[in-house]
This record gives sequence, C-alpha cells and structure tokens, in this order.
Amino acid sequence: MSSDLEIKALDGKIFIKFTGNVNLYNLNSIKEDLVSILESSNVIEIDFSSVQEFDSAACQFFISLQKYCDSKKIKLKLTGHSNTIISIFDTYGLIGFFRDKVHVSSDDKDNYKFSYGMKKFPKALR
Amino acid sequence: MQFEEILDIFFSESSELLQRMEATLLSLEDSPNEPKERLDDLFRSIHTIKGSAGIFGMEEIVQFTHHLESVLDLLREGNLTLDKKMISLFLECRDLITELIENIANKRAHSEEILNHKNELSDSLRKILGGEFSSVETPPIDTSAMERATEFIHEETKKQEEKIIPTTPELCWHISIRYKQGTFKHGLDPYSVFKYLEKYGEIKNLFTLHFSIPNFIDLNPEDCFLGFELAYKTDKKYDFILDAFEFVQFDADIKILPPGRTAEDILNFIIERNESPLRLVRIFKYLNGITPEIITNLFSIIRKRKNKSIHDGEEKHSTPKKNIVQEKPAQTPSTNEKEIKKEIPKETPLKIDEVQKKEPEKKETKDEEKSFPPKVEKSQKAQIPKNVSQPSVSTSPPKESKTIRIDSSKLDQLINQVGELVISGANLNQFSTGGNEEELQESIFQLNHLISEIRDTSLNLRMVQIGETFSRFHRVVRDISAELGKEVELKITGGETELDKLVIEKITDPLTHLVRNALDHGIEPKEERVEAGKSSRAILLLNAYHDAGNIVIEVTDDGRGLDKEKIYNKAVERGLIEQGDELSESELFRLIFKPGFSTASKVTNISGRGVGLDVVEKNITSLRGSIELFSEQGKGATIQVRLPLTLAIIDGFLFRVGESYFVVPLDQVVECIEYKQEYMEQDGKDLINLRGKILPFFKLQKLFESLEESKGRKNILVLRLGGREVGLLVDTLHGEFQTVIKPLGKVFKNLKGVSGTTILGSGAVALILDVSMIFQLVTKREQASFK
Repeated sequence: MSSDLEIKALDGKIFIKFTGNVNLYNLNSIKEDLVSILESSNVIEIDFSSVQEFDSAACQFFISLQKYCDSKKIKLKLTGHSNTIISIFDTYGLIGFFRDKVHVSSDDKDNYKFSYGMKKFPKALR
Repeated sequence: MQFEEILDIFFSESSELLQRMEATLLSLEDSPNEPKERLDDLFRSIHTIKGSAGIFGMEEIVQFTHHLESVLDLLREGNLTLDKKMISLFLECRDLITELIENIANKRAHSEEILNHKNELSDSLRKILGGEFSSVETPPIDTSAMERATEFIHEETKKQEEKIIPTTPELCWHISIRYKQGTFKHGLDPYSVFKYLEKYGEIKNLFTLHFSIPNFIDLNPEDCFLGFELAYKTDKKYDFILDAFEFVQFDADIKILPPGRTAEDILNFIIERNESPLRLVRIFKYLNGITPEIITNLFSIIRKRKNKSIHDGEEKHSTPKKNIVQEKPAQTPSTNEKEIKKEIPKETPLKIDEVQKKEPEKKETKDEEKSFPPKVEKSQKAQIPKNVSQPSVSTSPPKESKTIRIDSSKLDQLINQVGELVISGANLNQFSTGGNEEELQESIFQLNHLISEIRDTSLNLRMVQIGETFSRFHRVVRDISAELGKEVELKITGGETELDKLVIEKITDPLTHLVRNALDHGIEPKEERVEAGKSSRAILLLNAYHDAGNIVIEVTDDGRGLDKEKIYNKAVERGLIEQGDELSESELFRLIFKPGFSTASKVTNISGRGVGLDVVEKNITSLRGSIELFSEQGKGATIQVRLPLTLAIIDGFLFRVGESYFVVPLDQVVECIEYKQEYMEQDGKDLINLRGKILPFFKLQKLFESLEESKGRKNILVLRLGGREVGLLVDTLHGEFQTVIKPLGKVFKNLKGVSGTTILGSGAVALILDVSMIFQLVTKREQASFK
C-alpha cells in the first residue's frame, strides 16, 4: 500500500484520501492500489484536499480513470480540489470533463479563468 | 451541433435517398428503356449513403454499399446490362440497407438473420462483379494520393482566390500539440509551457485530447499520451510562440496556425495530423477557432477533390479515395454541409444569384400595373437581420446581393408557424417558473431565447426598405407639381428604414394622398411663396426612421402650414365643435381627420373633396398605427405617421378585467399604478391625480358591457397615444408578454375596440385592445361632459 493515500470502505462505497503528492513519482504505486479495489465497488470518492503537488501526469492518470469508470458504470467523485489541482484542471479545461463540483472561495475565484471546460465539455468530444 | 443531430440528418437523408432508390428501381422495372439517367441517380444515392456511413464508422453499411456501388457503376458506364433479376436483387439490397440503418438508428444490434442475409446478397453482388471487387479495409498510407490531394488543393485555392477570412470572435493563434510517449520520463511537464505562454498572451480556450490515453488497466502512468488544441491570443509572432516550446521540441509535435487562417490552411493541418477530420473540426468549433464559412469551404474542397478523383477515371471499383485521412474515407456529402449552413445548400431549385431570370412568384400583384419600375426584383431579399453581425467575407468586390425569390405565402406560413411556436414557448414557460430543476430552467430559458431569435429573424424576412416606395414619389411629385404649376423638390431621407412588406403596401395609398395634399394645399403657388419671402422652389420631405418599436414616416412641406382659425371655423360650421370651445392645437388638428372635413376653398380632382384624410386615418389605424399633424402657420406642416414594425407578433402587456384577459401593445404602456380610492377627484369623475397631472381613466366595462365589476384590488394602466395619456382601470396586471396576433374572424370584423386576439399559454383567449379606440371614447366622454 502506498503511503500517499488512505483507503476506506463504507456503506459499499470506497473513499480514498490522498495525503501527499500525486505526481509522476508515485502514480505507479497509486495505480496498483487503485486497481486492487476497482472491482469492489461502483462508487468511488476521492478526496484531494490534502494534495500538494499534482502534475500533468496525474491529470492524465485521472482522465484515464474517469474514462474507465464511465465505461464500467462506476461513479467516480472527485472532491476537495486543492488550488493546485483547480489551476491545472482549469488550464486543461477538465472541470467540465470530470463533472464534479469544484468549490472555490470568492477570493480565489479571480485566479481562475473558468472560461472553458466548465460546463460545456461537449458530449461529442468525450 | 451535437453528434446526435448530425446523425439524425444522416438518418433522414438516407431514408429519403432509399425511398428515392426504390421508386427509381420500380420505374426501371416498368420501363427499362433509357436507363442511364436513373442508373446515375441510383449510383449517386448509394455513393452518398456509403460516404456518410463511412464518416460515422458504420462499417457494415460501408462494405455492403461498396459492392452495390461497384455494380451500379458498371451498369451506368454501360459495361453491364440491367436485367429483371438484378433489379429484384437491388430492391432486396435496398431493403437490407434500410433495415441496417434502422437498427442503428434504434440502437439495436443486427440480428444474425440480417447479417446472414447481408452476406448472401453480398455474394450475389460479387458474382455479378465476377470477382473484380476489392475490399474496403484501410489501406496503407497512399502518399501519391496525398500528393495529388495537396496539388489539387493548391489549384482550387488559386481558382477560388480565397483571401484571409478572419476567425471570430477574436483573432487567435491556433496551437496544436502532440506529446510523445517519453515526455514525462524526460522530466518535462506540458503544464509549464502553458504557464509560460500565459505570460505573453492569453489562452482563450484549450481542449485536452484524451483519445490516445489507454485504458486505465493498461495504462503506464509514466508514459505521456496527452495532446492539446488551443486558441492563443497574443501580440507575439510565430517564432516567439514556437520558441516557447523549445524545451519540449524533441518530445512534442507542434503545429501553429495563424489568426488569419484559411480553409486551406486548416485542411492541410488536418491532413498532416492524420486524425479524424470530423473530430478536429469539432475541436476547432469548440475552441471558437473556425468560422462557419471556413467549414463550408473545407467540406466543399474535400468533396470537390473527392469528385475530381472519381471523374479522373481512376480505378473504378477500387477502394474509396483515402486521400486525406487513413481512418475514415474523407467524404463529406451534403450531410455535413447541411449541418453547418442551411442557407446555402449546394443544389437548390432557387438560384441564389441573379433574380432577373425567374418569373416573379409573389402573389401581391397590385403594383405591377403601375408604371413605376417593378419593385418585384429587390423586394424579396432574404435580408440578414441587422443585429446579426456577419464576419466580413471580403473575397470579391460585392456584386449583386445574394437574393432568393420566395413565394410570399411560404413566408406567411413560416411566420404563422413561428407564431405557434411562440405560443408554445409561452405555454412551456408557464410550467417552468417556480420549478427547482436548474438545468430544466436553463433549457427553457435557452429555448425561449432561441424562439425569440427565430421570431425576429423570420419577421425580418418580411422587412423591406421603404426607400423604394419613397423614390416612386419623385414621379408623383413631378407630375402633380407640373400640373399645379408649382416648383417642388422632393427630398428623401431614411430610405433604408425597413418595415414589413405588408405594411409598406398598405401605406402606399395613404402616403400618396398625404403627398398630394401637401402639394395641393400645403404648398403655395410660386408668387405667394416669393411674397412671403420663401424660395420659389418648395421642398417636400419624406422621412422615415425607427422609434421605439415603431416606424415613423413623416411628410413635411415648407408651405403655408395649417390655418388654425380656418379650421376652427370650419369645425364650428360642421357642428363638430361649438363656438367658444377651447381646444389644444393637437386636438384642433385632429379635427381635420373627420370625414367630410375640408377647408379647401377649391376642390380639385386631386384633393379637397374631404374624402381623403379620414380614409387615410382609418387605413393607418387599421395597421395599428397613428397619425398626427404638426404645423406652424406660414412655415409648413408635418404629418407624422407611426406604424408598428410588424403586424404579426407584438410585444404586449397582459392584464385581466373580471374573468377576461386583455392585451395592449407594450409601447403604448407608460406605467402601472395601484388604484387607490383617494386618487379620485372629488366630483366622482373618472379622473385621478397622477403626480400633479390629471389623468382620465377608463373602465373597460363601459366598452364591454358583459364585464363584471370585481371587488378586489385594482390597478391603473397608463396608456399613451400621440402625446396623450389615459388610464385604464384593470384588475390584475400580468406583465409583458409577446403574443402572436390572431385576427378576428369575419364575424367580428366591425367590432370596435378589439383589433385581434391571442392565445395565452394557458389556452385562454385574450383580446387585443385597440388603444386608439379607448382614447376616442375618452375624448367623446370629455366632450360630452363639457356640455
């Protein structure tokens, strides 16, 4: 088990909390952990609130995970987006892709563009 | 446009083509002579279906139709003779294709039976081809074909002389990046490049391509499969942008397109990328980096190239030309064109260019007898509404504007349907307000917005510039002034003001009368003018402009103006007023519109008989317009006609009196106030004190006797017409709402006070009040009370 995440199961749902960085250096081990639990539930909730570093490789990782979950009808919920994550999702236009609610305080709102990828990730390009 | 919508177009188009094929096949069975044209037709239909199916990846259809297409090709070239057995086979094939498409449309898997049948039929087709068929699997890269394509495009470009078409809305660079698998391992992160770019410009839009990322289970997280397409706004030049990728240059495939990119640029880009063209175009659209014109041009180029290679007689039964893209045949039949631009279909029965050739199809023929130049040619311009900004396509110098001749009854039908749509929208609105579903609300809001737009656009189709009507008066002025021995110059302003075609036709007569009046009575003979110190040459001005949802037409002359005393005396003489009555100027002038009123000492054959102005006013009010006179004695006079911009749909104000609903035109509503007893004047007259002004108000019960007097709270709706204000006592106010006017039936033609009806969202009928009638009634009442 990788030390960067904690996995809990509750009410048939899986809760994953990341505790450190999520980047190129630990994605492989994170993947191992995830793969082992993917079969066990069809609701997975991921808490990003303690995540520090989050890079493009991580983005790719979760895009792939989201697509996988969509195909297997697993509900994947990403929560607690840290500012780093919001920034990179914002730039990459992924907020609409993941369809999760992203909470941003009104002070921070101006830091982000949210001008694309917010709601309008086109179905035809999924 | 969403994928489903494009797919729907494919389904309906194929369905049409298949039906047509059946009819053609049956006709060939009945009368097999001279089959060439019909065989051509069949070939083209199948060819189109094959191409479209290819775009959507419907392989089983592509394969099957390919064989059918090959056979049909042999037939139409005359290399094979058609016989009854073949026709039966074709009919079976056609049926099968229909079934296959239906299954796909209904998201059903093909049954084994169907697939077996398909194979059987394919075998039969193959036998006919004698084994000359070839498969349709993806061939290896055909570089020579690509070269041919590029060559062709250069030729086409030279021919089309395409100039740079700016992208909308802002001029952005387009950057396309494909990172290689080892990018991450080389210690690079794409994100940093974007952060860098943001320092020197703005990323307006970015799309992350996720299509190459493998299945999660198979994914090696350290490999990079990312790609990006973005719209980047900056003042920097190409080299700078390219340099931004310096660190990743060995790990990334970068393509940069300038803001002023043409269809050819984009096509080349698509060829080079070697990915699904439809997807790339979609991404461009999503990024707002491509205009509809470019898309049309794009598909047009692709299609031309496709046709050209067919007609070059290259391998007839061979694989479909994979000139551009390896994944799918890059054929774009009219499906996609239709998707983008419904206005300019490739084959249209109506010529979009010159309008002269065709017979005028319009039903309104009244004006054709006149000697004026026929207005038919220009008047049915399908004008682009002014509030829609068009990207300027500055290819060639603007020739004749593109027009289409349309049977005006078709327009009327369209507007009728739009009217129904508006009512439906109102109905839907009823059920949405107060709901909690945000998405539903949004949808409904969008829908209503679109309905508004469609309403405006279709009403705009009927708009014609008044300038043409005005210019006809040059002749009128010339003739009459000659007859009267006066020198008059006609000046026209505001000719580009547009109004509804029907309205123009209806005001032409009244306008003519007003002009004649001005020439005859308003403008003095030369000597008189000179004596009065005016120029011997009089000026008659026709002016038109828009004002608050109305069109205002003014006929102004610098003649002698109205003689108030004369009018007053004449009115007394006629018993319209009594000596000693005090009238305001506008009230005095209004008297002129009474039937039989004329102060002309000389009755000419032109005017003066007094049958004119009241008819003019009636005509104007029947158009829901109003007319007003302004004059300064000795200086001149202006007749001002106000007309609504459109007759079919109005923006109204809905209110209720008793159990009945009424609507008044919104631009005649000034304000609404709550009716409090203490507002009433002491002597019980229907007057209230509105901020120091006395406002007469009117109870609709006086007009419609069946209306009950309700007990509850009441309101006063303040209406304005021609400078006067009158209040209307109503029960409940329901606010603004756009309504389609449905005319009253013949039975109600003479009904006073009601100018039409409309159907509310709830299905109830509301009467549209004739506000001028209300005003007249109030005036009468006031006059009566003075006695």
